[in-house]
Amino acid sequence: MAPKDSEVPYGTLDLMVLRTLESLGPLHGYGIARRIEQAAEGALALNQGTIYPALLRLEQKGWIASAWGTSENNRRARFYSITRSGRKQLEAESQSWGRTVAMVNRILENES
Amino acid sequence: MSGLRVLLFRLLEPLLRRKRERELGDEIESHLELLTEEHLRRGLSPEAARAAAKRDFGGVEQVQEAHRDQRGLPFADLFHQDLRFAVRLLVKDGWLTVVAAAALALGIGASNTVFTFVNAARLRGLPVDEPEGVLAIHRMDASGRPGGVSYTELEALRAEATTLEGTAAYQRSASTVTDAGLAAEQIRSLYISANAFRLLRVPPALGRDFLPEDDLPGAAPVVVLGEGVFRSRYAGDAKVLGSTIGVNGVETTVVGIMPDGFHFDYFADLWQPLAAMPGLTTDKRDAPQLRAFGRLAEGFELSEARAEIEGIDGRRKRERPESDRESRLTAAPFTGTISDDLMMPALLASVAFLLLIGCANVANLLLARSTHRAREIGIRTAIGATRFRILRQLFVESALLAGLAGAAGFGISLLGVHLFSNAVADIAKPYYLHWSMDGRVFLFFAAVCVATGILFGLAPALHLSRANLASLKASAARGARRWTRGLITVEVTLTLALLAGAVLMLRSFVTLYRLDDVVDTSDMTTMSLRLPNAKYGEPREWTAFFQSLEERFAGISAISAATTASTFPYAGAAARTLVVEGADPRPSTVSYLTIGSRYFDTLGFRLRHGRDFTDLDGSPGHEAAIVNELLAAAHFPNDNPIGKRIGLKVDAADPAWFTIVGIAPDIRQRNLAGPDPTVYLPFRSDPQPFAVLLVRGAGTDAVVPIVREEVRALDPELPLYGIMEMDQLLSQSRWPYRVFGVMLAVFASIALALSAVGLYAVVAHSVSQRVQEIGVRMALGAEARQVSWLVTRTTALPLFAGLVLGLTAALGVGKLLQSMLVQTSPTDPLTLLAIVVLLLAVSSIACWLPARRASRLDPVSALRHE
Repeated sequence: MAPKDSEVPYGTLDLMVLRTLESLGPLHGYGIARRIEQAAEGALALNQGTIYPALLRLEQKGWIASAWGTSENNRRARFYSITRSGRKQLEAESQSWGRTVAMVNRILENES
Repeated sequence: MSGLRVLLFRLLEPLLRRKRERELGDEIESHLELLTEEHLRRGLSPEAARAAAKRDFGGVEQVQEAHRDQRGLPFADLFHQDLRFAVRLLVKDGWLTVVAAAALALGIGASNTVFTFVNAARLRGLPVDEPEGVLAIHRMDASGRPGGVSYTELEALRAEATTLEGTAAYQRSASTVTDAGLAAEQIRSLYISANAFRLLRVPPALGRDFLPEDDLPGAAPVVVLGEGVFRSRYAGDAKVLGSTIGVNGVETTVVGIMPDGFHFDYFADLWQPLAAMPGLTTDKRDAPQLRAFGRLAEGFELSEARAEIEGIDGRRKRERPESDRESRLTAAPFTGTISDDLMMPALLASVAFLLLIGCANVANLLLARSTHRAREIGIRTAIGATRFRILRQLFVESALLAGLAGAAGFGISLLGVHLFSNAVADIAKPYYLHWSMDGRVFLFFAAVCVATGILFGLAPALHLSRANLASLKASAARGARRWTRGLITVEVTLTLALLAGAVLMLRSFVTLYRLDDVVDTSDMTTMSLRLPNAKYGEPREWTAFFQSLEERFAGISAISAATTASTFPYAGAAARTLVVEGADPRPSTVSYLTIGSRYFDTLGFRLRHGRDFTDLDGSPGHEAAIVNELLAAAHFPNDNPIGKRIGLKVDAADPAWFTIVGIAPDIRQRNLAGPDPTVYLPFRSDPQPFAVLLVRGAGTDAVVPIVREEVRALDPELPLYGIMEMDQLLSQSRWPYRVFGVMLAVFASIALALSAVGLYAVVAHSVSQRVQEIGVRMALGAEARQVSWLVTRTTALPLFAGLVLGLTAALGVGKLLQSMLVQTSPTDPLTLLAIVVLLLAVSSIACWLPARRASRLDPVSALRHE
């Protein structure tokens, strides 16, 4: 049985969205989803729609802001950009994520 | 910080919902277009590109739902949604809502009614500070009947009990109050220990209460008045404080006025120190004539006090080997003893049954609907509703129904309490009994509503939330049937148990009524008279007074018969220990009355054997007694009791001996639930300064002035009191059977109706589910009878299971009620058979109606039925 594309680990979607917006600047939902899929190089089964609740959550927390603009196909689209507190949050979250991964790795290596 | 922002954002949602919803729609649409273009660029056809875009995006509905959850206040928002949906559903299923709510409302209403009584009679306690600390102390006889304690025992408790802050005692009495310029008045009073008011924590409103020195033999006589007397007799004038009034012919100083509404212990309005009681510390030291109570000392529990009191009693018994060994001194919460110990739990149990039947019924109705709901819920699950979400929806529906039923039920309980108050309005009850609802009742009511909502919502909710679209209809129907069968069994079982309780109580009531028919109560008036100690000190004077009163009555034409007695028929009696000469010395307790010369004449009794008392009986050398048939049968089963000698004694004293001269018919004297062995003595054998008068004549209104006139002729300062028609007195003595019997009957009828409705609904639903099947069967030649059986067979087995279980439960109910039953066997096969037949008949009709409809279906239209 071939390994399936993994689900998005819980809580990491926020992190990926913040990171994408930080490096690419303002993007609409489609752009963010596309970018995350590309970065994952097909290893991620993402229903693109699921980023919308995530975007809303981040906006409610004040980590991203949104404004209406025009998309590449000349349609109205909402563009999201990272805020200052979003950058701070990303910083903190990345470090914590890094620590978590390192810790899990250490455990996995020692146990095997 | 960000938490606050989120909250703010969510709070604004209701205002911005439409805008946000539209924007999300736009956003998703543009996202889908971008995706579609991407797929077009890869060379897909427009249709395929659009489909691929949708696939990549995932469920639009789910995204929108998740977005909404994130946006608003999910709970409030969804609750609002659920509520709106539930209201629509309930309105749509109008008849079902009405039946379900009515079933529950009856159950909730009955529960709340009964709990209001239980709360008032048992839980609320005395209207004093920390009522739960006040204990009644009584001597329980071998059959569990509470009796009085003696002065010696009171002293022992005071000296030895450390679990009690203090012990007090009292005796009910009636005191004649005389003042210059005012008519003599009889006032219900207590002789009471000086520390009683302090133990109760009720200080007087004016003046002082008793001091320890007031309660010593030979102390200057003092009295505390109730607010009622203070207002009505002394016009609320505080000058009466410190003045002297005549109490039972003794000049007595008024030292205090108790606050308004205080009538401890029952309805007293005047209190004298215990020491003022004649003979208390001398010849009546050991008479069990006092009611005692105590207050728990700081930090002690009822059980500890009870153990200590029983220990003290046990020690005293060992020291005095001649004492009564069968009884024991014990303690109970003060208000725990005022009503029958059995009826309250019986009523509570019956309303609990009723509530359960109501819940089972509603659960059944909802289950019947659930086969339709299964489809709706399956679809909701398929488009992303979680099980929790479905459960919550179903519970909101249950809660709404319970709320509706609760509102109606509360109305029913108000009505129930009102009806009950009226039914018991003329019954002498203690001053602190108010059938009012308080916080505890409201709490109970709320708990019942919530509990019923959960209870009847549980079965359908668990059952439905498991439904999924694939296995939908078949499994839903199968599961529902299993639940339904169980619920029918429960309903039938409980209904049968309730019916048994009601029938047994009603039969007891009818039996009592028949038993009491031996006395012709028409035109009979009862009243009481007490001779004050100060004026009438000698037993000789008491006999003389009552004898001359009887003689005066004999000459009056408006009075056809009149007599004095120590107490009324049916109104309780003193107890004596009986010994029979030359027989087994095992003592037994009998009721004991002293009567005037025309007692049996006046009651309309014909003596079964022997003769009535003569004027000589009761004088020395003529110690005569009349016993009732019950006593004669119990102690002289084989001989003629006339001429035999019996001894009567109090406690450990030597018996006094009497010769039986007559046998009287049986009546209920001391025992509520049927006649008890009784001995009658002539008044002069044991004179008392107190008597009741039984007067037969042209009605109470005509007789009372005449009697009053005759009494006044003998002594102008003697008031008559306790004037009542004999009928009234008798119906009072039967009231628990009347009131509780009727209540149980009402509950049982409701239960029967609910069960019938439940069965009807189940069969009717089974018909509606199987219309097509029935059509096929009929087209293939099935007969009406077979079709009827097809739809009723689901209910037949649980019905019979319920009957069998119910019979067992009915036997249990009978056993529990046994001590209340009057010559009615709890296992009487006729009673049981009758209720089974009744229940079976009602259930059969309930099943037969819809079954008949099924058998009359037109096969052609049935086949087309969707």
